[in-house]
Amino acid sequence: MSRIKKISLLFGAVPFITLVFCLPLVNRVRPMILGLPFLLFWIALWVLATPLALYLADRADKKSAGSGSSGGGDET
Amino acid sequence: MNSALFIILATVIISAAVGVYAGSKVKMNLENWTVGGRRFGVILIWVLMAGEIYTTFTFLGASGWAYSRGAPTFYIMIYGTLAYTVSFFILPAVWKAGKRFGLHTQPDFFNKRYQSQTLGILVALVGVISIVPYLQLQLQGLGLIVEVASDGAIRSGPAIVLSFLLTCAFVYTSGIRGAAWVSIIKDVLMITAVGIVGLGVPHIYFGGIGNMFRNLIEKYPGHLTFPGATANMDTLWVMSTVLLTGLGFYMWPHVFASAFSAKSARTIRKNAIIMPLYQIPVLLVFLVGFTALLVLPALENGDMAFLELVRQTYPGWFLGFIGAAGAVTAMVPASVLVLFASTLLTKNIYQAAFAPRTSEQTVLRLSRLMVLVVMAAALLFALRFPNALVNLLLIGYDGVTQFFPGVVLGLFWTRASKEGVLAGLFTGISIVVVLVFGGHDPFWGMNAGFVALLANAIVTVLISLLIGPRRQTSGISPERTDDQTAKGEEK
Repeated sequence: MSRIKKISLLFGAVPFITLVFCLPLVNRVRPMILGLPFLLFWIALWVLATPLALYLADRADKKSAGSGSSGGGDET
Repeated sequence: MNSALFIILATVIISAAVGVYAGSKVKMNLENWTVGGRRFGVILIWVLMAGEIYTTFTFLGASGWAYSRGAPTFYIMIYGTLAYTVSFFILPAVWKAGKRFGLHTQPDFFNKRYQSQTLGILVALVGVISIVPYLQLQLQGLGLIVEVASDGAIRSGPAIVLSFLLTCAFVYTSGIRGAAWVSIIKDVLMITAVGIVGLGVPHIYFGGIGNMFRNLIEKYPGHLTFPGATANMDTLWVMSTVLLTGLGFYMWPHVFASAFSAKSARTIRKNAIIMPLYQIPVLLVFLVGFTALLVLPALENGDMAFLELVRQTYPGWFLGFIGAAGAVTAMVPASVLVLFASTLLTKNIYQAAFAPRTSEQTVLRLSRLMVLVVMAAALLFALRFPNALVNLLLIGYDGVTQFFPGVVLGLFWTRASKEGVLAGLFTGISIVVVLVFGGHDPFWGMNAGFVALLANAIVTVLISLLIGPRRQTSGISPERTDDQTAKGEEK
C-alpha cells in the first residue's frame, strides 16, 4: 500500500474538505437550488462528486504504479 | 389474511429460502462460511456492504431525525460518503493481509499484525459487546415495522420470533453468502420503496420538492440548518460526528471482515468508488421525514414518521410492501452481525483463550451453534428487556471506532506496537465511558467518541515511539502487505 500516492490522497481529501470542513460556511437555506435548501444541495452535490474524485484518485494511483498495480488491472 | 400480511410473510420467507439456497451448493468450511471463499465480485460486495450500512435505522431513524431534529440528520448522508472514501485507501491493504495470512475476522488481523493474543481477545470482546445491542435494535425495528405495516395483524413479538428463525436458518446454512444473496432482494425492495415514497409524497402534498421545502422554511425556520430543532447538535457536533462515524464505520467487526469476501483488492477499490452513489436514497428518506413534519405535525414518536405518512397516503397493500422491505432490511444486517459475533466468540475468544488446539471444522460447528445462542440472547433482550442495553448502544460506535488507530497505523506504519495500540484502546474506551455515562456528550460541542479517538491516536503514537515493536513481530507490516502479487519484488 505504499503505492498510495500523494496525488490520490489529495483527491481523497475532497469529500473531507467539502463535506466536513466547509460545513460552517454553507450552513444556510438560501439560495435554494433545484428545490433544495442550500445546505442540503451542497451536501448532495459533493456526495455525488465523490465517486468522481475517487475515480481520479484511482487513475492517479494506477498511472504512478506504472507497469501494473495489484490484483490485476482487470476491467475498469 | 389481509394483503399486507400476505406480502410481508411471502417476502421474508422467500428471502430466507434464497439465503438457504445460496449456500447449498458450497461445501461449507470456515473460509466459505465467514468470508465466502474470498470470491465475491463487485456486485456481491456492493450489496453486502450496502446491506450493512442500510439498516432499519435508514427507514425509521433517518426520516425520524429529519422529522424531529431537522438538519442534523444530514450527517447520515455525509458519514457514509466519508466511510467509503476511507475504505478506498485502507480496505485493499486489509484485503491483502487477509488473503496472505488467511484471516477471517478483525481480531485475526490484530492478532497477526501485533503478534498479540491479548490484543486479539480484547478487540473481540469490544466487538461482541458493541454488536449485541445493535442486533437487538434490528430485531426491535423489525418488530415495529411489521406490526405497523400489517396493521396489527402480526404483533411485534411473533414478528421478531419468526424473523429470528428465518435469519438463523440462512446464516446457519450459508454464512456470509446467504447474507449477500438476501441483500440483493433487500436492495431491490428498499430502493423501490424509498424511490416511490421519497419522490411521491412531496409531489402528492405540495406539488414538488421545492414547494415542500419553501413551506417548511416558512413554518419551521431554522429546521434545515444546523442545529435544526436540537439544542446541542450544532455544526461542530456534525463535523466531529461525521468524522467519528466515517472513520469508524469500517471498524465494525462485521463490516471490516466483509472486505475479506472480495475476490481481489481491485474489486474493493471499484466498490469504494461507486458506493457513495448509494447515499442518494438517504436523501429521499429525508424528504419523507420533512414532508411528514408538515402533513402530520403531531406525531408522538418521530421514528414513526415514515410509516405513518405511508399509511396516510397509500393503500394498505403498499404499506405491506414497505413492511416487507423494512423486515428484510433488518434481517440482512442482523444476519451479518450475528455471524461475526458468533465467529468472534468462538474463534477469537474461546479458541484463542481456552482451546488453542480446536480444529477449524470444530470452530465452524461451534460458530454455527453460537449463532443460535447470540440470536437468542438478542431476542430475549428485544422481547423482555428492551431497554437494558440502550446504554451500550450509545457507545457502540464510539467503542469500535477506537480500533481505527490500530488498524491504520498497523497497515501503514512499521513502528506501531502492540503496547501502543493497547494503551490507545484503553485510553479511548475509558474516555468514552466516562464522558458518555457522565453525561458529557457532546463534550465542548464535539462528539465524545471523537474526543476519545483523538486521545487514543495520540497515545498510540507516543507509546509506539517509546516502546517500538520487537524485530521479529513482522506479521503484517506495510512492506509485507504492500503487494500480494508482487512477492518477487520483496527482498
